[in-house]
Amino acid sequence: MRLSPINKKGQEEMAGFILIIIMFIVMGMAFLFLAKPRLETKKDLQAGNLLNSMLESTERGKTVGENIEFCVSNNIQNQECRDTFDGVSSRLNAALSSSGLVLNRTLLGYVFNATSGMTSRLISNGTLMGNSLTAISPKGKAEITLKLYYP
Amino acid sequence: MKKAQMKIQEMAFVLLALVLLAIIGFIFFLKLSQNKLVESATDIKTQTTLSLLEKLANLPELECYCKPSCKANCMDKDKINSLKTMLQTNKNLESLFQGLSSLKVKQIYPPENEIVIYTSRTPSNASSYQTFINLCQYDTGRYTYDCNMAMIIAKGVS
Repeated sequence: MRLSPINKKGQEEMAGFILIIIMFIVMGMAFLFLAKPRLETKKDLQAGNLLNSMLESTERGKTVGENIEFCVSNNIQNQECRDTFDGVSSRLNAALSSSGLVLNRTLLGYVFNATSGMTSRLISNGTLMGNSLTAISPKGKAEITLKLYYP
Repeated sequence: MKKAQMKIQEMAFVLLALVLLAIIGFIFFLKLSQNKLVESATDIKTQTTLSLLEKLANLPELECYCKPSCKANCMDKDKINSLKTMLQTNKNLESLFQGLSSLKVKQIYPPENEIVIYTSRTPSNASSYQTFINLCQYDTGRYTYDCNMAMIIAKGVS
């Protein structure tokens, strides 16, 4: 089929218009991809100091870290182990509420996790969303992680 | 207006639109880079501050003995009290805290009143920095340290 010169020109204009629209869509998507806030998990020195300070505290003649390792690696759930994990929770709450300047950020919540083999103990508080700072401390057979969430 | 002139004008507008779009994109990109730059500058500042605080906590005059084993960021309560007393009589010791307007230690858990180790004679409005440490007291009966969570709080000179 032969197209008249007027029709052909119209088709070219349409093609150009569609091309421009496609270019705009691609550029817009690229901008949106760049602008999208990415949730980050960073290893943080201050969070590390907080975790180590808690694990090196002493209770019942041993460090909290040693007690946690004992409870988690042997999967013990007696009163002493419950007291140990209650102590962890109280220490973290006290540390995070003691100063608004902690980590220079407003914290939303935290997750404390002690793992050894298939056993793990989890303590969490507050909102667990947003960016996070982590600290990891290996204690004997157990690995202890603290994750702090901020907006 | 001739057809050719119309075409040139059309082309000029399209080019102008494209240039504007590119400029907007560039500004957007710069803004993103600036945010990242500010964030990394803050990170570096925090790291420098923390290492300074750790140095203070690990001063031989304040740190825990390596008994039964060495502890990082551990301050000896008895040494702190001794140094406080010595600072009152021997002003030469103040050189230990050159560049600081105050140095305090606050036990967080169980909560206790803060211990002011050093305060300069000239008050300062500078911001204070803090990090977590252990505040320990040597138990001479059990030959070991009893430690609690604490914070070291340092204020620089303005």
